[in-house]
Amino acid sequence: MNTVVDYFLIPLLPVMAFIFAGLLLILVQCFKRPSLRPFTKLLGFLGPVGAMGATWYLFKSQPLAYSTAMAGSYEAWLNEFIQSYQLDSITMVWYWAIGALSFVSFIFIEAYFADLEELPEILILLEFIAAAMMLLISASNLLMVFMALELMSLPTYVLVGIEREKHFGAEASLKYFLFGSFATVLLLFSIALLYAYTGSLQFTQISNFLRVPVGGENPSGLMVLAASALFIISVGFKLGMAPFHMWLPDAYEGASTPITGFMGSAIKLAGFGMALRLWWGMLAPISSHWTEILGVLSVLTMFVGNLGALKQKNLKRLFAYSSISHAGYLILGLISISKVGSQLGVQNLFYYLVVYGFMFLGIFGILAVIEKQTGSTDLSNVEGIGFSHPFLGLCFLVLVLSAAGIPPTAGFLGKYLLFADAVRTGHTTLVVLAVLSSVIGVYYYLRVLVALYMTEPSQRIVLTTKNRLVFLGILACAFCMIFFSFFPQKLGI
Amino acid sequence: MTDSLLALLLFVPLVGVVLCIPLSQELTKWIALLTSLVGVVLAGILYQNFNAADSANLQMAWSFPWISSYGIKFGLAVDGLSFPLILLTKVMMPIALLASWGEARRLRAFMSCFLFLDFAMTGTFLATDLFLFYVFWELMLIPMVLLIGVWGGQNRVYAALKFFLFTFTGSVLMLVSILWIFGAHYSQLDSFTGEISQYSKLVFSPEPVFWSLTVQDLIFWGFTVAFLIKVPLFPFHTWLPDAHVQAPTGGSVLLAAILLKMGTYGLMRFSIPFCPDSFIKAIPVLSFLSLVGIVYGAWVAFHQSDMKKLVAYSSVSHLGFVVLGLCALNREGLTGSVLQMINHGISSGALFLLVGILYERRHSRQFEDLGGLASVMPRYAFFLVFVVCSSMAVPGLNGFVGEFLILLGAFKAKPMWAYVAVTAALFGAVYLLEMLRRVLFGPITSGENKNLKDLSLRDWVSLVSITVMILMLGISPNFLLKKIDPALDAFWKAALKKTHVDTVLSGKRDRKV
Repeated sequence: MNTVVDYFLIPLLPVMAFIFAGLLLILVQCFKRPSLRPFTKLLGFLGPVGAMGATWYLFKSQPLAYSTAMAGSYEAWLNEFIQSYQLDSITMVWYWAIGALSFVSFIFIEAYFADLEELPEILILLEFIAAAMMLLISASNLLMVFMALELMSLPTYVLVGIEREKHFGAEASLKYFLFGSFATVLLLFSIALLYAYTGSLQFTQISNFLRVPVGGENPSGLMVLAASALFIISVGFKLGMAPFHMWLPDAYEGASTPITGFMGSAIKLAGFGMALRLWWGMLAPISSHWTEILGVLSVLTMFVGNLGALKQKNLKRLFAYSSISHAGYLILGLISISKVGSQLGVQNLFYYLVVYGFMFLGIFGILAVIEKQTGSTDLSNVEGIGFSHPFLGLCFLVLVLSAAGIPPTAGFLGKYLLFADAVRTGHTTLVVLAVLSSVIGVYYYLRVLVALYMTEPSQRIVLTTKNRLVFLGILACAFCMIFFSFFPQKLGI
Repeated sequence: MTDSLLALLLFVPLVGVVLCIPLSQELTKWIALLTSLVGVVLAGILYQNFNAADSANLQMAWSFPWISSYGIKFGLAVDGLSFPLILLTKVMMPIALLASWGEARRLRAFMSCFLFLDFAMTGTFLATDLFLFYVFWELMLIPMVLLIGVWGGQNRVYAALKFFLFTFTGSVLMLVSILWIFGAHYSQLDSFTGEISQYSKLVFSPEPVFWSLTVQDLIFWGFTVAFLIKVPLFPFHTWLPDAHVQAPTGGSVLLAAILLKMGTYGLMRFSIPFCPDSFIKAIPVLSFLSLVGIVYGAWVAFHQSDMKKLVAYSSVSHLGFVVLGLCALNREGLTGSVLQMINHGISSGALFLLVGILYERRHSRQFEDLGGLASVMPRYAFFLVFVVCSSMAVPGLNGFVGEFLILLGAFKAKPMWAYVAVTAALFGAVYLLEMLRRVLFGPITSGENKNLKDLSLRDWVSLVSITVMILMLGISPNFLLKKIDPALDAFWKAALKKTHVDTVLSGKRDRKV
């Protein structure tokens, strides 16, 4: 006899691994013993490792499609609760990615904040963010989406401003908080509108309602249109989609470098997971209403990102803009998933997200090392690194080439697959524009390359770090760029 | 052996790169030389094993699956079109390497770039998969940009960026076309494939979609602009002089000898077979541009004061002939174009090598600093005169065969083309002889020129091998042509089979198609 534990708690194991690690860290932190610090650091990895292990266990044991099997066998409130969370084969792969990305960024963060007293608090916040990301990806109920989104966002606002002595951080934190909470309010509003119209918070029920309107009512009523418009705005905020991207460069620049790496990689992955569920899981029946708008916005996002990055001198800001442009490509991929459950399209999106995640993480890992040593991440600080530090230089080169989408890196393959899907679903004009914007983009990536290899350094930089793991993490990120390009089937392509 | 010969050809340079990493700077030179010599030997084996009778089809295929859900394979094969270019690549590699033998800075990285470039170039010619081709095509860019930007002259960063941005813009247009034709294959035949040979089966609707351009035209121009930038044909040529002048000698040699051929190879491999209707429609434009390029390149070369720039502009002129030969749509023009590609590779590679040799000794390429060198460096003078003769198509040397056939083909297709092109060929003799006069003859004007050393041993090695090639191709081009004749015979018929091939080939084509 399957119990509620089997159906509800077992699937939640990866999430619980993160939450458990977070709670354990709080407990350990209560003792306030300096001697416990190495233990704390180790404990931080419990979350990602546990989550990956749990995901692996779920893969092996292949649990059922929980929510549908259980409908109706429990009391109404419990049913609602069980169905708010849906685990399928796709989300499990996404769990893996979140675990892996968190693991690598934890390495960078622990090395960067090695001397900071608040390191355990940072880790606690990160564990909860990671747990929330998993919930967000597999939420199948609007309330769950809202809750997970809040659980993810609030600690992030804190993390952005965690280095209290930095003015930039505080400013960025406040800005991010104001914009973010505004977006949340809009999301809440659209949830309310949808609930008022359909009488449900469940994705499948809303979707069914929109597909077969009660009493022949037009599903594209004003209320639904308003709700989907608000979804575009609020989710667009979270994804950094133009014209709702204003907060992003400031927040990314102001946050401590490895925290930015985490925000740009893992959180973005979760954000796109949410967008995938919201748009294709819930609003698919009225997709004709929003794909066009999103298509235009995706191109706008690419151009804003690529043009904005052109003149940046600070590498953090440069790559923040570059991440905006990548969000544009990803949104293009999102709208090219023409049918609900179109496996190939979802896989391509996932491939790009993972590749982009490791790329962004690796770049910010390198930037963190540079910032730690030289105090800033100006373009002039990486001059000549290609030859004075061949290892870091080569990793940087591979990562930047991947960001620019130049073969044989995985960044190119990801773009190719996304664009191929987009052309196949009839978005040829958008692809032409996307490709043109990537030509603009290549110019600023080249500037990085020129600084790395073709400029004589104005000062001699020696980059070392006590934590060898950091180099291993950077190497892993760069390696992914080559590996996934030649073995894309490892990511399901 | 022959099963994996192509894989060996491709991967041996990559093995060289790996070997370079742990070795000392000085040793990497020898590793690179050794690797490229192995490449020459493998190319010899390829020449022996290449089946001439079957050269119209892909041979020695070697592949393994890559992205199966999209039908993309890592596939290599060789046919009559790529065969001569593979040989050229492998033969020019050690020569280019010897040309940069004196490079002293960051040798390991330099040699790695060189070998990586070899890898990418070989891959570009061997790829049988559209996606793989694009990967290699782009892969070439990175080492070349580094070669120009790190080991180049004064203005290297500017030249490297310009080279990159020009080529990348073209590549990206090609990417759109690739994606488009990829999608078209899916919608027409309901399957994904990367196989290049499959795409010539596609049939496009003649309905215009954008102004008067059909889908086929748009795909054609996406590919073609990328290739024309690489060739480079007239309005797209401006990156070439900068890149050539700034690049280190070895880089210039490879750029001129191999990289520029990618463009014309691409026209023959992709643009024409994929979109024959559009090609026929585009002939007036292409032939006009190539004629302008031929004349303009020669004219601008004549006015240069920098020896290397002169040679660079002469490339613009010479490669215009190749495109013109393709526009003629007949066997003579095609044969001439293929030969001209090889010939230009050899002679202009040799010219850059000679410029490099001079620059190594005199540290200047300006004509005003040179003059009267024939008496100081008689052996050098001999080779320079010899190579210049080959470049201006003196009968008996290699340049003549190709250029003559192109002119013949052009005359058959449209006499006017031949008239214009012949005057430019004449002009070519003018600027090259003028260069000889200003470098070699006359009084020695500068004291620094009095004590220049003549050729060293390594210069002898590379120059003599070039001389042998020039004579071989000039006296008996058959040793190459007999290997690829069936491919050339079949080319137009196969490429244009979707169009009204008989009317096109008999010359009665309707220009307003």
